[in-house]
Amino acid sequence: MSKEIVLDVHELQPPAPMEMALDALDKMTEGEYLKMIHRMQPFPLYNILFENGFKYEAREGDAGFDIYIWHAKDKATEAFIKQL
Amino acid sequence: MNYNQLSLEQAPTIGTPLRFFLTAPVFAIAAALLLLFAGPDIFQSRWQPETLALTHLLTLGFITMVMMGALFQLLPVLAGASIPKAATISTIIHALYSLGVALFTFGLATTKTSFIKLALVVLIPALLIFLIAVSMSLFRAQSSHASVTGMRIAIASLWITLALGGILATGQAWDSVPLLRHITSIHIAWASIGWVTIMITAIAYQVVPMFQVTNDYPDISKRYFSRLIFICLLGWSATHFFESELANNYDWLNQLVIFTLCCLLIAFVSITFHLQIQRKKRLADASMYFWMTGLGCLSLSMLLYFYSEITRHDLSILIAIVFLTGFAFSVINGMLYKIVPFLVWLHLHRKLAFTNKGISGIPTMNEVISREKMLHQYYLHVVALILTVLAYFMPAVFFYPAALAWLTNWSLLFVHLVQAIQLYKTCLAST
Repeated sequence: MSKEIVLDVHELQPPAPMEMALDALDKMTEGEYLKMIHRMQPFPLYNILFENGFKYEAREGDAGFDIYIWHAKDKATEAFIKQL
Repeated sequence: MNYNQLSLEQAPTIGTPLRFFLTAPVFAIAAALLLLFAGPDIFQSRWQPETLALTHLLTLGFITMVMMGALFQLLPVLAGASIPKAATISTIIHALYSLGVALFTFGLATTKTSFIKLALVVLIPALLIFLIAVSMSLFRAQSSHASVTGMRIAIASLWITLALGGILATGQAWDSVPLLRHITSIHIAWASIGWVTIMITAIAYQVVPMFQVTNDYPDISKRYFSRLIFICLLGWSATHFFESELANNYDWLNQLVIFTLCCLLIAFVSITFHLQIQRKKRLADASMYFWMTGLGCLSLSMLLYFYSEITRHDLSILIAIVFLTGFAFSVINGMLYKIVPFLVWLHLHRKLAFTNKGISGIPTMNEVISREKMLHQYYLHVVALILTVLAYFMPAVFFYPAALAWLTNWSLLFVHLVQAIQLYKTCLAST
């Protein structure tokens, strides 16, 4: 079972959500994933994730969107998130 | 529903929007210089060569220039729809368009038709390439957000504006082509309300809740607003196009359409003010002040327009001052102060995140252009605006102070944008 790190940014003004996400991702290890609670889809963040070996999945959530982010090579966490 | 299928095409490079944003103030500075050289008579009639040149320096040179750059940046971010080969296409469009606007406005000011002819050869292809690229991208956009609907309607309006403007400019340049002056008002309506205002409202649906952390716009406003304005514009165009046939019998119809249009736009302004007042974090900055000033001027220009139609007073120059410099320039200036620092900040993160250097040394968004610098330029903008309105009534006293205030104001905006780019380069060079 992978460990969830929750980051609720839905009331924050840009660019705080991305700053906090990058900070959390920098510390995140394999076996962990980030659940970002956001009002909208952070398209600019997706490009940074894509270029730095992360994968993501955005789902509709209470605040707007829940964005799940994990290390692309962490297949176990990916499988775990898909089941959620 | 999950959204991981959204295609991750390469986001535009920082140079793609910035070349448009940096060129725009140069045309605004040219407009201020034209004001100084032309003198107070420029406010006498909207048909004078210098007045036509001034209007197009402001609308094509500044407003449309910034909106083009903003669309290259915003379409992938807001709509998940990037423009294919954006870097190459934007370079070509920017070069052709800048040259075209320079030639066109010079031709209009000096009444040298050879320059207008030459301008049309580059300006029309530049706008066509832009319109085709953006239309294709918007057509493919997966997002059903109200912003995308608004952008589609704004782009449709730009197609109409270009078609009518093309007919007018051709008539101006070639003696063999008749000059259909009566379609000028229709051209102006589609440019100002269809293109500029609908595009700004479409961007506001995303940018106001995002950057000012307000609640979302009400669904009813997002769903119907731009469509209703588009219908009003169609009705308005029809009554003006068939003006001679309709004579005075359908005056009430014309006034009804104008009344509806005014109500819609004032409702939009009221909703935005309401959202801004209700917002959770009351951190006002220069960008917010620019937005509020701009929206106030939009309401004022609509009221002036309605009053001028009812009373049959020609207030077109005053309305143009309040609408163009009061509304469009204020809002766009405010947008530039959010977008440019955001782009510098974003691209530094893209380049430096997860590298040895890390993101700790990257300036915050507020450090890219300081709050004080933006506020100083905002105050100067308001002074220039007030002086221009006063110059309309008392040109002998206020015209030159107004022109000098705009020259200083737009030069300061240009300097602030250049300093932001220099900061970006310095940060990258130090890694």
